[in-house]
Amino acid sequence: MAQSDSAGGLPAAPAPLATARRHAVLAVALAAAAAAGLLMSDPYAIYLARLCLINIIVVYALNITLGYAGQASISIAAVFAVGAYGSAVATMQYGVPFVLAWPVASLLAGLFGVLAALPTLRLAGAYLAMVSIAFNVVAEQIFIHGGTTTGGPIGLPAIPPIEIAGFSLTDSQALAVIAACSVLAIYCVASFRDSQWGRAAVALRESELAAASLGINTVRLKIALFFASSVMAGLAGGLYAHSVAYISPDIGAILASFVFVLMLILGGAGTLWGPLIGAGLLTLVPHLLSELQKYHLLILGIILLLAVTRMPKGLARPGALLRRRKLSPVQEKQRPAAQTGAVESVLLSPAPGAGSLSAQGISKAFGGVRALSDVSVEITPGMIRGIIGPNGSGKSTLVNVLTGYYTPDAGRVMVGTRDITARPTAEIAQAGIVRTFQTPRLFADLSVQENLMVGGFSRRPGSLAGALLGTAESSAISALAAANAAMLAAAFGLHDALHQKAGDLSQGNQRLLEIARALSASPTILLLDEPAAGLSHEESINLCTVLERLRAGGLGILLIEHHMDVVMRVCDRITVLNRGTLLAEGTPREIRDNAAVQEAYLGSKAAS
Amino acid sequence: MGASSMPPVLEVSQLSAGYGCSSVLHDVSLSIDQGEIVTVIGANGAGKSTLLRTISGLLKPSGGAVLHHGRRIDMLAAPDIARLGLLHIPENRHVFADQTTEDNLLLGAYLRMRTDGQATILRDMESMLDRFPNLKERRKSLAGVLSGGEQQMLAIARALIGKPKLLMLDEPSLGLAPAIVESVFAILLEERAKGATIVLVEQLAYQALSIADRGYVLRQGRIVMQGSSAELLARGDIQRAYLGSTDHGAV
Repeated sequence: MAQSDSAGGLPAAPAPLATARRHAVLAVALAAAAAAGLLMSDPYAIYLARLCLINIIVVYALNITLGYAGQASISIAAVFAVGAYGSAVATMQYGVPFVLAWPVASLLAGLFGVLAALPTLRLAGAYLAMVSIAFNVVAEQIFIHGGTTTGGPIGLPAIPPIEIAGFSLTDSQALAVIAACSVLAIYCVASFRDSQWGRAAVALRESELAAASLGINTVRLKIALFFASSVMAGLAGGLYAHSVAYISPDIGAILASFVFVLMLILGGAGTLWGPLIGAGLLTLVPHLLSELQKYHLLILGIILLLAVTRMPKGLARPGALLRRRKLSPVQEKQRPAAQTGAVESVLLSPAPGAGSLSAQGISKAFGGVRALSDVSVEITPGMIRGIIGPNGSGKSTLVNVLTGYYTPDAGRVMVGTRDITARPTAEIAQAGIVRTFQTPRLFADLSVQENLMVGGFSRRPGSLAGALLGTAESSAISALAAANAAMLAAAFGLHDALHQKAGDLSQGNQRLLEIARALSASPTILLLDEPAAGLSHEESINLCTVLERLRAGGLGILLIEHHMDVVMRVCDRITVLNRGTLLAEGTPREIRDNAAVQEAYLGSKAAS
Repeated sequence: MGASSMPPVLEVSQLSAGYGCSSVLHDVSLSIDQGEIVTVIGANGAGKSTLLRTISGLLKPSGGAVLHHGRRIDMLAAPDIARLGLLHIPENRHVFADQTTEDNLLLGAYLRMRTDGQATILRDMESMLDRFPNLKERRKSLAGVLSGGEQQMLAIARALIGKPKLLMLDEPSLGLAPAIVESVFAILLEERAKGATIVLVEQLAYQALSIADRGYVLRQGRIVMQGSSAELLARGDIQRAYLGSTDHGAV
């Protein structure tokens, strides 16, 4: 894997670190598992170790969807139970051998998990959590009322042990298998986080809107992540059923889901080591205090209260809440912005013969308010079109219609000869139309470099399986994206901040990063919504230079902006909107001399 | 300037502040007298917003003091500072998105509910809407569906209706059309004529200095220059660094 060579002299891709981290995981975990397996003879200790390792797998699975991707669907115990019941029923009642029943039941759990996750496509946050709780309750009832198949409220006793190639494993041999599986689970999740899939997942959590604007098909991404996570939880369920030998509906109860969520939150959602810490602590502590068994729930409740109030980001990053609040812009070195690299070199594919973007006769009303009526505008590659107009004149609405956020009441949006009216945002982005937002929507928790890598995901995602297994191909895809990101960062004068979190950048640099990130999705037409807002005079000048270079590289740009010095300097054509209608269209000179524009927009100084 | 016997509305003395390990403000001292418009200019990341956040209690200083009419306020919590009449309009608007324009304005008058009658407040709301015609048109709309610029206007109007003793604005021009910037600045001048005291942080340094009485220049967390607006506008180094072309609005 000579992947970092392609980056040349640029800052190294994160790959070497990631590989080192993975090796460390393997070494530590294997050593621990081997020691545990050899030393343990006490059946209770073996039982506890098994439980702990199985919980670790489940919480790592949950970390993919809830931790990294931020999807508050929490019916993980039901998914786990589908894996457990599926494998138990298949072996006991249909005589299917374990080696076949286990993976098939896990695939079933995967499908079940996707079904449970379907509400994520429409809902978010608390509503999603509510729906998944309801789903979990329904699943629990099915296990309870499943008759002889599920054993009803009593469950299924005497499940045969794990059997491989005709040999039934003893308890300590089973423990070794489970340990190996949990090591593999940690390895897979670590590889996943370091892959483009992992970055896309975090992007989804940080801003679904921005992720879609970079061409990420968020529906497909969510389904894939839930499938992977649920298969993993299902595998854990099968291991549980065949090693503990007894399952009951309790294992799939909503309470069990809460405990898994609590383990993740206590340890640190979205961290690599949080699930290990959380699952380990919350499995062992209640059992070690076994005389307090009747206070089990009370103890869990108190731990949850303390965790959420004292260290909301989890044990795996205890300092996080003390040192950094989200709003804090850290002082940065004054950067020699945009003078460093040739920005046009970062236009990955100058899009030969790419179509122009045109809006034809767009109308859009909100309630009684006509935001746009019969507006037409065209942007061709290699031109900068300015859109100006008073506040509330429909400029941002137009961008939202062009990028599919709003469905127009009338009119069409075309790229070349292709009609993209009201298509999903991700599809429009893949057609080369990429936007920025008026208030930057960066992936605040990702580094500058990772923000710039997400844009490459839709073009070259690789397979999710490859990402989980950390294949050479997956690493190579990441390395390529990292090299592109470093080049983009250099072109925008952000190379010193490459490994800083995007949320810690100053306002000015956040705006630059938003433009750079949009470019990382290889647009042919770039839509900029007030990129110079909040920029100082010097920064505005730099922005002009960047825009001019991008135009020279063949990019078409639509520029919404109130800084007239910027607009008049860089635009080839200007469209003026007023109250949702076209007030004027022309060259900067024509617009400047237009009396109607002066009155409606520019103000008294321009008239004098 | 005649020596006034009253202590200044706001005095910031050797203030230091920052986030965690990174300190942003170093030894910043400034004072603002009754009825003045004072502007703070400087590049992005110079600490302008941090200064306002520290004065309004959103951030605790690591050193120095903030005094209001000679009384230390840097130990107070943000709501208590607001209750004293020191109002801060942060950079990112923060309007109440799920409530109407009118309700946002009424909430801005929340602290006046007990002292002034409802009738007075409703009258003030009408006159505020008259001063912001865009908002008047959208008076029944939810704030969340207003355009970015309209939300900015709403944030300003909501602060003004609270009759602040000291108004601190962080980049009020952000996202506003040039003509609206002019009218917002004109409103600030009217407020001063009525006796308001205003601290204005702005990227549009030329316009800010045009309406301000005095200005401070912040660079990397330190005050590097101060003076009357006329003095600052005349300085070559200021023009080059912060003003650029002196006619942003006039193209």
